[in-house]
Amino acid sequence: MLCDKCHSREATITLTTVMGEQTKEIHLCGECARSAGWGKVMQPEFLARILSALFGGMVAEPEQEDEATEEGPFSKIVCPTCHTRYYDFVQNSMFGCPDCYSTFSVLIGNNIRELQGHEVHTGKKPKYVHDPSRKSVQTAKSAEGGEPSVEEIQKQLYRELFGNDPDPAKSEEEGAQESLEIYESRLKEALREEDYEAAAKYRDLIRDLKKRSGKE
Amino acid sequence: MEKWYRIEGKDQDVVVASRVRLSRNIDGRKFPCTLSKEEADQLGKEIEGSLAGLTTITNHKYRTCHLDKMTDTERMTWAERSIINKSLANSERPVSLLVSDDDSISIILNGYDHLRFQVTAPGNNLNAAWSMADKLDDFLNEKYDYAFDERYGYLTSFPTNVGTALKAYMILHLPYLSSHRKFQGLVSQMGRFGLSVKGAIGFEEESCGSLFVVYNQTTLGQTEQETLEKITKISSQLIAQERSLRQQNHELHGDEDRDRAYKTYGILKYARKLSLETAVDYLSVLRTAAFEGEIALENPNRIYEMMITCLPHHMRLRAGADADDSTIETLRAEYVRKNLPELIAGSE
Repeated sequence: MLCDKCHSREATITLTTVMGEQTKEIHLCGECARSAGWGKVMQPEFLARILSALFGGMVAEPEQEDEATEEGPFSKIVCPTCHTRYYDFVQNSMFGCPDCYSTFSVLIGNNIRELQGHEVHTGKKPKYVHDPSRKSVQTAKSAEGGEPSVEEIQKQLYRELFGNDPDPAKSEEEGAQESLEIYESRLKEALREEDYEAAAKYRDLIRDLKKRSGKE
Repeated sequence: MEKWYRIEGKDQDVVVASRVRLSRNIDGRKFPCTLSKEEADQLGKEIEGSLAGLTTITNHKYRTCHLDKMTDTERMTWAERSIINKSLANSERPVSLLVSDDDSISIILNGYDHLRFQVTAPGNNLNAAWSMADKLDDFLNEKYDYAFDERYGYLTSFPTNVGTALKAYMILHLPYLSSHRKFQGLVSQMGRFGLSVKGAIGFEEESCGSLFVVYNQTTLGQTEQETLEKITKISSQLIAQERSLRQQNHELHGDEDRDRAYKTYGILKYARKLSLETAVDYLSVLRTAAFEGEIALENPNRIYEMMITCLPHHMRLRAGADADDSTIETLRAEYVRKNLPELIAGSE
């Protein structure tokens, strides 16, 4: 979709206004959004503050400065259950607890689809569920007008900030970062499987990608 | 009870074994990597305590060991047996391991996931391995709620395992196909099916013995049965190609092959020092010759077991931590001499 302002660049940000039952959307490219003052949403402190206000303890306090700050706007998102940061996940390709999947759901959905070639499980389901209430946390939908689930709030927020749900149009840089994360995951998987040929392939791909994005 | 690798299986001339691994996590608990040592210890003990009915369910007795109480060499022997992977063998986390009396079933507690069970069946029989893993899965699920999500399936610490959390492996002996020019092309095409092929045994990063594993790379969006069928189907093509190359070779060079088989047997039977590569590669030649009828051995299934037991950490465990390479080579030759299957009387 083209930017509503310059009509030349691909729109990567959608601003959504909801008035009663009416929803209005404005699609902007990164440059026009920045010139309109929306660039600050990309700042990690700004995002962390919004998320912090929405989800309480789920996000590290802005004053807790650390190396993650330099790694992008999402690195401060923290799982409320195990305190794994998104930055940790990017580094280790590893989650800390089952709740990380819902905490980082919006951020990792595309990567999982890329990694796995699919996005929805088919196959065996647990034969026994002793405590159905736990399970419902993962998949809750606010169909009856109750409180929206964490996942829905996150989706909504992401949609408002970046307008790219469910199939985001990514900037080249974002795309490269995502591929890097996928290759890192695949590399680690290959090493765990002791599949050294595959590991060498992903190591080379990562090196090329880093070179291209000028990180090395 | 007879070890699984001494039992004959389907398509054993090419297929050594079929293996299935399932990862499961207990709902409401942090994954092992984020548990403190105390929390992990406690969870490990809790799960161990709940496995009382395991023997009845699987009809096997189990021995339990704790990786953090083992030496590095002991842990690495489990990695050489493909019971744990090398990165787990190199860690000193409180991981518990239960292994059945026939070595076919192993359960890892607090590895990368809370539970990982692995079932191995001799020969081409992924379904047998799966049905035991499935049974174990239900047995444990009866005691614990699993971390499961309608969209992502069984939740695992690595997103590369999420979904069915099933990894299935077919271990193939492909001496002829792997030295054929088209092999690399075949291997690189596996990715199209979401599968991968890697060397099955080796040291450092070098694989040896012409043993390969076909396994699934992806775990989301396909059922367990679809995964097993895909691996079985692709493997059956590799099996057919390996057999056809063996047949062609036999027709052209039958006499030379027979000569090579006996010379190889002679070296293995009488050598005083054996390097890893020599031992494993010669055992590989002998395995093929035995299944192709070029040499008649008492129990050719034992050869795979010998290939594993020849690996460096198994040898170091026998030789002691201070043994040098030369001592290990001497010990390896001694081990091979003592354990090499006998020639069937009158067949020479």
